[in-house]
Amino acid sequence: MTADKIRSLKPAAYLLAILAGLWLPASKIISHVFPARQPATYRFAASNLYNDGDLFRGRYVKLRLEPIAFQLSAGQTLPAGRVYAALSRKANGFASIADVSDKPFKHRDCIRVEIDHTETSQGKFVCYLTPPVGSCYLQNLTPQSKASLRRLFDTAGRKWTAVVKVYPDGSCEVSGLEANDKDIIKELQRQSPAAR
Amino acid sequence: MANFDADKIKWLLGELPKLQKEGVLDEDETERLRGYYEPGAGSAAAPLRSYFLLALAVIGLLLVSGGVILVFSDAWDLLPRSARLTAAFAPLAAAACCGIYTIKRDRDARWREASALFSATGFAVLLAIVSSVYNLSGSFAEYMEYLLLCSLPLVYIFDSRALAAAFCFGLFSLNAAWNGSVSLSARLLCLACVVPYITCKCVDLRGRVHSEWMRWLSLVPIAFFTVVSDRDFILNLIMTSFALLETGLFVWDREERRANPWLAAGWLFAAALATAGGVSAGFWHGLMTGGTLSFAKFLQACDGVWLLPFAVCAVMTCARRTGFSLLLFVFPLLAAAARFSLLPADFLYWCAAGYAFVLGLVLLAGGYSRRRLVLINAGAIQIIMLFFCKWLSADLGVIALGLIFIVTGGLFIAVNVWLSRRFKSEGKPEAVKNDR
Repeated sequence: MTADKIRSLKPAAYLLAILAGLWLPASKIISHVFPARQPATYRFAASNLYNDGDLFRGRYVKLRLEPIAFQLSAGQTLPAGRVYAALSRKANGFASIADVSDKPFKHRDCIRVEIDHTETSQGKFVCYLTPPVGSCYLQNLTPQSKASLRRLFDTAGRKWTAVVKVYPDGSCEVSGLEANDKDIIKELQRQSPAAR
Repeated sequence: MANFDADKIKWLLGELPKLQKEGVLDEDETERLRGYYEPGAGSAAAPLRSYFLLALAVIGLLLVSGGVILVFSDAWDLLPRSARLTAAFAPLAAAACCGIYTIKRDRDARWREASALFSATGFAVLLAIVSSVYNLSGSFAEYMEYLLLCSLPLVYIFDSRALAAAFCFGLFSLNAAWNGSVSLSARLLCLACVVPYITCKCVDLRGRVHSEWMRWLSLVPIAFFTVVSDRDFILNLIMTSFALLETGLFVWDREERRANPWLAAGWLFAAALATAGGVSAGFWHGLMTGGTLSFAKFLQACDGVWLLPFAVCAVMTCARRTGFSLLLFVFPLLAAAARFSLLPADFLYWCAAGYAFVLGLVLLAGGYSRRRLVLINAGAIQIIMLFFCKWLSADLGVIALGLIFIVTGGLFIAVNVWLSRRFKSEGKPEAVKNDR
């Protein structure tokens, strides 16, 4: 292949590379904006609410959901690599895990989880799975509201619950955070003049 | 005159005495040829200096733009989702325009390098903001996997040595996948795809100027890792990077007439080793703490191989007995102390920071006394990174941090311009290498 021919192919190759790179973010946006079915809402017990910070985001509060126990049936093994958990809802709205797989469940609410730890008790293998969520519940808050939230987290004696939207592709979004059954985020957003 | 031609002219001028001796040319012809071509040979320093200054400008502008992002991020959470998504796509759209312009107009290496880096940065910004806006779950290693896969075609399309260098450093991040979400085959694939390019550039003896350009750009990913990563996880990478960079600089400084394969070979070696080490989760963690490893013996052998080249480099360079070369001895000692837990981890961490600081000072002082901007900037960047890593805290607030970034970047550019002019007025341009 001549140098001229290679040069003439470069624009097309470049555009192809750009389009290929756009595929992942675009598919994520589309799956959230136009989900195959409406996201379901589950409640998760939250633990390890702690202050964190880095140079580019400043101080923020990090949220970690409590691991949920799942007992593997005889002969069942945990998938290697990515793990998706099919969710079911308890009477109080809290999520429990009904099944695990290495791919998203097509017709059931599922969430991608990380393996927290495993236990063997009375011959039964139990794994504890944690949905990874970040600090998204801080969105649309003024810096003052964030500071208020951090102070709240530093106060002991509250029972925290995260309200999580679960999308069909296994991703999730924290839509609310409750302290002793009171929605703290909505309260702070109401207080925030620029809240949306 | 292009650098390629300058190299040819240098070769021709070197051949003249031999041609005269063998009677192919007489003395007059030799002198006429020398008189005609010698001014062209002198211009070899010009592209070198322009690449060098461009690299410095990129570093300074990155610092400034980091500061602008910080100032902007103060109100980020209050922007509507559509505005945040627009901001996510804007850099990639601008990069695509720049890339198409570069390809269509067949622009030179500076445009190609900038377009490749700009496009890769566009992908990085896009996924980071989209992930943040939609709270996508995923690990840092998966993010880097996406970024590496997007960057790979750009390396070849733009023939970008800088992006290839960044790619090699990016490979390290794939080993952060503790939960196995990035498979071994994906890591090996990423490595295998860039190996042909780097190998090709390593043996390209005309690539002296480009090697320097590539080396300087590698400081950007080092800074990235230093700022955003956990200290224990990253300590070995920082020290490896420092040692590779400075050993490469040192050897390059000595061997002005030969292309220097040290750093590129070092990247390849370190990337291959890190990828191989990734067979067992916790490679870097194991290096630090001696923790439980599935392939402990294999990893210990890797550690030995890892330390060996630095020890050899140190012995080789210590022949000159400069302060810098003696300092190179300290690196294997620190690495060995880390590997075998000979010193408390916290104490070792401060030792490593002190080591990096002293190395930075030595480079600064040595560079200034020899009027070498390359060495001055190596030292300055090292000290700046150390300062950012250890003393800048999120407690300062994003506005204050942003201003610090902007001021540092501005000062960096201003000092470089000032020193460059000063050295030029003294008649000792930085690109001219002194014999020691």
